[in-house]
Amino acid sequence: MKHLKPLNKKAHRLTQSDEKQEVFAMQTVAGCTTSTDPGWEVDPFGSVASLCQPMEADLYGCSDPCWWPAAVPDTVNTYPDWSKLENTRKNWRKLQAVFPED
Amino acid sequence: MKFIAPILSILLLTAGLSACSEAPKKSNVSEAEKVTGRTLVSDNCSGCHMEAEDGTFSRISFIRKTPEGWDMNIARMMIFHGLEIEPQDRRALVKYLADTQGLAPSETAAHRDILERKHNVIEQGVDPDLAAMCARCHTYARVALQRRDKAEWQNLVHMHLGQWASIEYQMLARERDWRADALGPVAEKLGKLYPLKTTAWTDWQKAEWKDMSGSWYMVGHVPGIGDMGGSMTVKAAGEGKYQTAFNMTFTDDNTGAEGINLTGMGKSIVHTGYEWRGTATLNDVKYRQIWAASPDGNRMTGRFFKKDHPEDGMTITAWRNIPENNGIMSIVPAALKAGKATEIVISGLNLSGDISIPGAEVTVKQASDSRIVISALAQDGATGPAKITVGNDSAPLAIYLQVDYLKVTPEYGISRVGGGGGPIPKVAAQFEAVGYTFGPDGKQGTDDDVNLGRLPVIWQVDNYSPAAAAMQDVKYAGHITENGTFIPAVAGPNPERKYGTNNAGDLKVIASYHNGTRTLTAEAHLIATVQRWNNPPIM
Repeated sequence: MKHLKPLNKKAHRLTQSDEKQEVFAMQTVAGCTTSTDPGWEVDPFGSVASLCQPMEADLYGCSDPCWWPAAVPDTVNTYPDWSKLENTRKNWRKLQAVFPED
Repeated sequence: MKFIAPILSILLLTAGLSACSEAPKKSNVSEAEKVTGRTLVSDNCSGCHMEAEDGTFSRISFIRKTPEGWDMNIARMMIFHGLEIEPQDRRALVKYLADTQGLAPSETAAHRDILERKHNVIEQGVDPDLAAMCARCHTYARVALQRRDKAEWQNLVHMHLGQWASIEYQMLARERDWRADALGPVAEKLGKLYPLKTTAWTDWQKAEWKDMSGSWYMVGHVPGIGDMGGSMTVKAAGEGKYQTAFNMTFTDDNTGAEGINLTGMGKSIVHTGYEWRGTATLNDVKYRQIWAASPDGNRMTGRFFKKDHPEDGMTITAWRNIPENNGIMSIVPAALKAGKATEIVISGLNLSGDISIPGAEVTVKQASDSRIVISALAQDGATGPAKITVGNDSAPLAIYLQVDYLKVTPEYGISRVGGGGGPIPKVAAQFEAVGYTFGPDGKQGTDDDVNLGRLPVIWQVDNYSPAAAAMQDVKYAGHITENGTFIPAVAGPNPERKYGTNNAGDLKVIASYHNGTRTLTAEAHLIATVQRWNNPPIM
C-alpha cells in the first residue's frame, strides 16, 4: 500500500481504518467454491457476510453465466433445463440436485 | 570352443525348464471380464470415442481414475451428452474401468479423506499454482486422483474452457493469461506429477488381488458419540462382489459405558483389488462404506456413513480374523485420571495374556479374545504417557492429574441449510472437544502435550464477528445439540431477516468443560452456509 495514495474521501477512510481483514480465499474447507468474488459458500474473508443473499433472489443471474459451475448448475450449456422457474425466490423448493445417483 | 556349445545348451535348457516350471501368473482381471468390459465401452462410448486400430478408445484409454472418478465421468456423459445407460451397465463399466485403468493404493493414499467424504477437511500442502487453477472450485483431491499425460491434461483444460467460458474471467484467472497458463505450465506440471504410466500402477496390476471373504473385526470412532467395536462377516458372491453382515456395539468414550447395538446386512464390491465399496442397512438406516484394503488384503480402513448424510459417520479400522492379525486395535478411553477408578474397553483380535498398566491397579471385568473390559486405578505418581499391555502387545495410554486445556475439532467447520420443503437435505456439522495436559514442559501447544481424548462439555454457539452480530446470525442459523452437533436452519429466504436473507451464519462454537472449581473453554469457527445442487462423490 505504500505506493498507493488515496484520492477521494472513501479511500482516505480506508487507509485510516484499523480494521484489517486477512483474505484467505484458498484456506477454507475442501470443496468450497470460494474465490469467484464472492464464492458460493464462503466469501473472501472466510465469512458469509459478503455472499449474495438471499441467493434465491438472483440465482439465475449468477448461474446463467456459470459463475459457480462446481456447486450450482449452469444454465448456459450444461444444465439448460435446470428447474426452469419463473420466480426462484418463491419457487426455490422446486430446484433439484443434478448429479444422477446410481 | 567345443565345450562352449554344450554348456550354453545346458544353461538355456535349465533357464527354459525354470520358466516352464512356474505356472503363468493368473491375471487379476480375467480375459472374459476384459472382453465383456470392452464390449460395454464399445456399445456405450464408441459413438463419440473413436476406437483406433490398436484397440484404444479416444480419451478413455489415456486416463486412470478411482471408481468414483469413472462414475462421475459416466454421469457427466449422461447429463451433458445425453448418454442413456442402464444402471447395471453403469456399475459394470465403473468396475471394468477401475480394474483396468485404476489407481494403485499408494496413488490414492494422500487423498482418502476426500474419497471417504470426510466433512470439514482443509487440504494442506497444495501447490499454489494448482490450487489457484483447480482448487478454487474443486477439491484438490479431485485432480490428484486422476492420472493423464500432458496432452490429456490439456484436453481437460479445453473441455473446461469449452464448457464454462466464464472460467477465464473469474477471480484468480482474469488477472493473467489463463489459457496460456493452463495449457502450458499447469498441464506440464500435472503431466509430471500425475502421469498415465507409473511403476506403482504396473506393480499393483501384477500383485495378487486378494479375496476379502472371511470374518473381520472392526473398531471405529463416531465423532461426538463414542467408539464402536464389532464384527463384519463377508461371503463371496462372485465377480468381486460380497454379502456382508454386521454386529456392532458402541461404547461411550467418556465413561466406558456400553451403548446401542447396530446390526444389519449389506452388499459390497471391490474395485481395483482394494477399493471396498459397500451399502448396508443397519437398524433400518441405509449406510455406505468407502474403505481401502491394505495390499496384503488383511486390513481395511475407511468410513462408514449414512447414505443421506455423508457427514454423519464413523472412521473404521477392520482386521481380518486370522492368526497373523493379533493385538490391540483400540482402547476406550485412552486416558486414565489418577486416583479415579475408570472402566476401559480394549478391542482387538486374538487378545490373550496378562493385562497390565504400570503404575495402576487393573481388575478384569470381562474378557474375550476381541473385547476386554477392565477397571483401572492409577496412583498420583504415575502421571504422564503410559501404556497398557495385553500379552505381547501394548498401546499408549495417558495417565493424568487434571485437564490443562481444551481444543475443539474441527477448528473450522461447515454446515449447510437444507430441507424446508426443498429437496436438498441439511448438512450438519459435528464438533468434539478434546482435552490435553501441558506435558512435562508445562507449556501449552508444544509437542509433549498429551491428548486425553474427547471430554464431556457444554456446547454453545455465538456470533463470530460484529457483522454476524448485526445480522443476528446466532438467532437464525441453527442450534447445537448436547453432543456437539450443529443442526442448521431451513433453506430458503427468511422474510424475518434483513433483506430476507438466507439462514446462513458466521458463528463461533464454544465448548466449556467444568472440572470442580475450574472451567476450561475453547472455540472453533463455523460457517453455516447455503446448499449445493451439484453433489458428486468427489466434490
